[in-house]
Amino acid sequence: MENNEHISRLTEEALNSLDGASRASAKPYLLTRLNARMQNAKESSWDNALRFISRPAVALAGLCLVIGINAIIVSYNYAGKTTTVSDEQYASVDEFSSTVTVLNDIENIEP
Amino acid sequence: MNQPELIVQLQQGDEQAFRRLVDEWQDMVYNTAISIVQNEDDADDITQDVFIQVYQSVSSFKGESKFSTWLYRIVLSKALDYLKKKKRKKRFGFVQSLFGSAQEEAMHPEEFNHPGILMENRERAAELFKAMAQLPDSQRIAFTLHKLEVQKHQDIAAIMNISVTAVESLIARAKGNLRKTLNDYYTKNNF
Repeated sequence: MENNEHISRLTEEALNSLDGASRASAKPYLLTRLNARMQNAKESSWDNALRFISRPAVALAGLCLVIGINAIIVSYNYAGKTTTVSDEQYASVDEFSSTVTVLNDIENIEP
Repeated sequence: MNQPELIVQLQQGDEQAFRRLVDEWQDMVYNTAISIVQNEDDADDITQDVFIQVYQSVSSFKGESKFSTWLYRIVLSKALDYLKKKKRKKRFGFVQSLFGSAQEEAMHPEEFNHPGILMENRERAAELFKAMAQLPDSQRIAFTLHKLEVQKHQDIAAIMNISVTAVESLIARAKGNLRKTLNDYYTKNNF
């Protein structure tokens, strides 16, 4: 019985032990540390970007992308030009062949 | 300079205003953080995180609540996030201990002495803090703000976004749980 009372008293003492507590003070030079950390964060964001770009996988993927885009552009241009050129070529070939036929006809005319 | 002016200047990125903000609120932020995480170094890290977040997101502060309410919410959210991370680390430490490579500290946390507690109450307060660490988050927050930040029930209700009655209930349940934990502790250890 006496022991129970003793434990209850200890419990209440513990529960009331925060009474009269003052605020804990932050460690000194907080602002200096904050400024340093914010400065580091700014610098490291550029570092992170550079580090990310220079990763072999990212660099290789970028290179493939550039080569791919170039290949697509070249193939489109090439396809457009060949169509135009071939039409002109057909026209000139037809003209030439008819001229040749005409010339041959002249040469083969029997007297 | 009054508080709305200070906030406007902060939103404009004024460094002097930021300096004033840190000077004015650093102890409140640190005291709340240390009361929740119960470690001086961790509380210092959280304090820095809080001010960096305030600097970055003060433009989103619309003035719908008090600035202190907004600040308390940031501190509490950071402190609880920190505790969650620490719990995950502890679980990982336990798994490591099965393979014989765990850190001792993870399994046996050090006794915490809050720097603001009166000297004659330190021993009892250390036992109370151990019991507080076992409380559910909402009860721990309500009890901490009430006891260590000496906040009114109305202000705690605004910070936690609940009713005053709910705050009173949380504090009563926290006290009940603490009383039970402490009672068991003293009984087991034959005080």
